[in-house]
Amino acid sequence: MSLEVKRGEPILVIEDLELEFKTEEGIVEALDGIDLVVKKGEIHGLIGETGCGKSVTSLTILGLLDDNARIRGGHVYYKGEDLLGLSQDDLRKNVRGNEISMIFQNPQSALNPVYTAGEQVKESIVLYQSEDKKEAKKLVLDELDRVKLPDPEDVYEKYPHELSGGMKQRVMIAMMLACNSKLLIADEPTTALDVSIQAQFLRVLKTLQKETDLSILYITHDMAVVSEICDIVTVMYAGQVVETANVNKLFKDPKHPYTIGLIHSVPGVETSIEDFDTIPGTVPRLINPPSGCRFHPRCEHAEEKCKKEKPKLERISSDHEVACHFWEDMK
Amino acid sequence: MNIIETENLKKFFDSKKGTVKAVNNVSLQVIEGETLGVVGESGCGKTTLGRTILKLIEPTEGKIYFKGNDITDLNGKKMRPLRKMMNIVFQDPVASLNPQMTVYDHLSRPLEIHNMVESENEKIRRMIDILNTMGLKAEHMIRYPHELSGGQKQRVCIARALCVEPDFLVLDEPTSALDVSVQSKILKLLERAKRKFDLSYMFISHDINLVRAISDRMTVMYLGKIVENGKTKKIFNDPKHPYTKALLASVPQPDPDKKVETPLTGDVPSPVNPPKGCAFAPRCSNSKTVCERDDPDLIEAYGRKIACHRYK
Repeated sequence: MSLEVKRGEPILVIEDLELEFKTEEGIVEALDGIDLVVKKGEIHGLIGETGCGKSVTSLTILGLLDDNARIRGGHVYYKGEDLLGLSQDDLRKNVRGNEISMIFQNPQSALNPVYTAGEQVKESIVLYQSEDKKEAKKLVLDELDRVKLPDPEDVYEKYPHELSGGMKQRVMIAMMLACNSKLLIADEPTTALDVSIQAQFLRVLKTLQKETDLSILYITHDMAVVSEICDIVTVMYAGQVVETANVNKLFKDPKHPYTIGLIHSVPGVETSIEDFDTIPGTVPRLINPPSGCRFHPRCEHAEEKCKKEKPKLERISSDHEVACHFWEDMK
Repeated sequence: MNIIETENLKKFFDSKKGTVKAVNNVSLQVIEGETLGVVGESGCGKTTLGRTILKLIEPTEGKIYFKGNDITDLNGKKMRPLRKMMNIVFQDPVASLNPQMTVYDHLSRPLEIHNMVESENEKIRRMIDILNTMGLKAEHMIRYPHELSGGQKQRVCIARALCVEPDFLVLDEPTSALDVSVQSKILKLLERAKRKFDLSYMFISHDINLVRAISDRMTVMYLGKIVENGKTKKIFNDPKHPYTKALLASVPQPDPDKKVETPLTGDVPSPVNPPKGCAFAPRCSNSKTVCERDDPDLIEAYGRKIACHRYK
């Protein structure tokens, strides 16, 4: 992991990742050739509905998949090295924590209930920064302060159950900072939080991104949150990447019919109930998924070609890629 | 006319740490034919309010009127005929359906209990009609909950609530467990059902964009109290209460040009032993001495109701 990556250069590159799960009911084709590039210093949104494969993608990056998962092909390059070739031991020593960290939807289950918040952050400090006890504590307080926790001294002594959801999530971020991670994977970090707390949390992330060179892969199903903090957005559907674009382009000029449908399903400032455009049908099961473009059974523009041929992710401008045979016909 | 009215409604719970004032002095009206949105963050009492109004839990104090009649003290037996007129749809459709019962069973019980049908044929006809209204088919009758998707389960829950022809429905976060594309479908179906059956809704949600899209009037709650209540459009265009202002400003919009500017600081205080005076005062940037001392009344101002000392 010695390769230096400059701001704006790719830090994480996923190429043609294919993954399946063995289940009692059959083989679930969870990822069907995913391409994803996260650049250093950017917040990259990964959005999609339940079961589209966004969480599975993140677990693959860190080698946290269950035993019933099988990687059929593809690569996950981090700073030029293929993580899929590393052993669990290598991942633990050289990748998890000091290079890539992850925070989850429910901070309650990610924190140990019998240790104070401070002690848990200190564990990372001692591992990666300083073994000196006094200095370690000071560093912990610094990290707690950086994530804008009020009264760090007080939070240091608190047990997880004494902290609110928003505070716990910020302790998780402090832990990640203590590890000096370069890439943060955040899997629905604000779904369990109230809007005012979510706003505080997003602000902390945005500030960190500006002040440090932290890259963030932000996984969510919430289009509004994506538009709030992400620079680049990748949209997934049923295990395929359908569109990747700069956040402004994605919202103003979406090209994939699924992205268009998704944007119209979200209530915004000027929408009333009559304006809601819905996508017909439901998300397919991934045991024997639809052939070709997996969105074709729900797509009003679908033709024979869509059933037979999986569309490639095609670059249509410098910061916009789309996987649709007929993207040029979309308004 | 008001289909629902509450007067100084209170619901307190005793806990080891003290009394939780979940609903504290709430007076509101649901006008016939409207959708009243109730918004607020977790712990503000919106769910307890919905359940107390339906008398699923007994109020501690205050009055509840349904179509002008006082129903506060009605016992279980006397409530029964009213149960079919007022109904509820819960957030989690998985927990609301019995895994051992088919869709047919779920719909059949309310119809039988309220003597809504005279023959099996009539019952089936009614069920098919209501399932169709909710975008389901007759064949779904023989399905068990685990054979349905999340969105379909919630449609069954709504069909069950609608099959007894109620006048008023409490919808308690009916779409928050669902994906956005499914959510928009359910909302459209609810809107269609509202027109078809002349319903009034109380729509409880933490999703402010959603309430904006579907409600006629809205109530903003904070720690068991109403802080602002009025026409949805008016409140969104010009929020007056500092909490409403901050809450609306905290909501991210699905538009990259609109960013959240002034997020609220601090957390919602615990509803056990809430702050003295105005509950929002510790987080309010305009808080004065009077705010920490006296609890503001809900007063009429700017064509709505507001509970804030600034507007006296």
